[in-house]
Amino acid sequence: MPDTIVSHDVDLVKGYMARPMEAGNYPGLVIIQEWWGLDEHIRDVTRRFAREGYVAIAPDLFHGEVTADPQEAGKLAGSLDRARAVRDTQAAMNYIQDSEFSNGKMGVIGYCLGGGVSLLTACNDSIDAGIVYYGGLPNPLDLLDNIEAPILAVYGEDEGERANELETELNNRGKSVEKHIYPGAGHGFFNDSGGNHNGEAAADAWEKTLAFLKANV
Amino acid sequence: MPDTIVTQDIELVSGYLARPIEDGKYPGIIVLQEWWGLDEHIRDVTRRFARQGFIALSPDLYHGKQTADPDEARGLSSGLDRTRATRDVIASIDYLKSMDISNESVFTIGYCMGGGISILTACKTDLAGAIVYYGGLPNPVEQLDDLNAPVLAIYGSDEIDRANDLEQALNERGKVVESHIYEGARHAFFNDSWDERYDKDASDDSWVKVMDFISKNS
Repeated sequence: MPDTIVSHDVDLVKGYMARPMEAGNYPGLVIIQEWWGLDEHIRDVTRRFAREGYVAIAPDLFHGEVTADPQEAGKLAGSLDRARAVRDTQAAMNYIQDSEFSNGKMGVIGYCLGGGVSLLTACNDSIDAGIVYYGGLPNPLDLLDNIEAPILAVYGEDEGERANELETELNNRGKSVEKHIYPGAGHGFFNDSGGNHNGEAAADAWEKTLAFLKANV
Repeated sequence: MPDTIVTQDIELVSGYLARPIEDGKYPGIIVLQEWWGLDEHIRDVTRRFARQGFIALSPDLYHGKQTADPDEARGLSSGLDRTRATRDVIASIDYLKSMDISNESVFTIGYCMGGGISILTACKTDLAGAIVYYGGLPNPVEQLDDLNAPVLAIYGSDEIDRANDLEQALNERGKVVESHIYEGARHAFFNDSWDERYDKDASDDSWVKVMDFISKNS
């Protein structure tokens, strides 16, 4: 009888990793994608952090989908199951913690869509630093009660209100937050492959991000 | 300047999948490993479910490790982060449900260590049913308050206390549970790759009970 099934190994959650070549123990950092998916820009950012001495992983929250089309990106982001995205992020954290290169410390950074997921992860898991670039607030807001990590919030001037709201909500709960709003910069200003790139703001935010990470992981 | 970093695409969670060749809509079942890891026996069981018309998926809860040595297995099992394991199972459920051939209905079945994870998963997410072969109760047991799925519990008579504890804990909470205790059978009696423990009669009968439970709850 011919077999009636197919069987094979499968990747259930995937990601992209960059780490220092030299053996040693490094802090971990999970990088969370914009709504375009795990694209070349996010891979590039992951490598940049590795060059700064982090074991860096970007999980693929869209499970294989990448796009450069804003409408398609909007659809992918809109239908993303946030709880699943947080679990995928946690899988990346677990992977780093399991590796021989980890020093046990863990930061999470996310941009745009990923900024919101970064915050949500900080509400769900014990991490050492949470960084959000122009991301949304958790829904419901009371999830912020569970945050333990200090938060760095980076926004362009166009989303100053969102930044202030996040700062207020965290302050009201006695959480540690450092906020920067860049005049003249817009959503996605750090993305040097995108149309909204602002070189000056991006360079300054990069320095602030490295300093914040250095202080906390 | 030579680059000072290494980069690679990685698997954060992986598993073994078996499914019917023919296109169609099939129920899913997540097959959860014994403390040996995702070994050839668990792969074989996963294929058996596929032959019965399931999309069957077994996540690798040990992330690349497996052993045939009981001491090492004990170490791996006691070192397993249950919270992470449950997330790996839910990642498997998400993956399975995203397949074109999924009919959205998903069961979990686990053996030994995986039996405990099967029950624990049912405390964390919605399932069509959870099947446990000689597995432990959640710790703390109050997690069972959140369980919604019907449970099929299968034990050998060497673990009759454990079986009764589980049945009682579920009954007290008004949960649906069907228990079978096989006289003379021992822990791991379903594992036909382990001569010393394998009990063919109990194993064959329990397979029928599993199929009945699934068709009743599909």
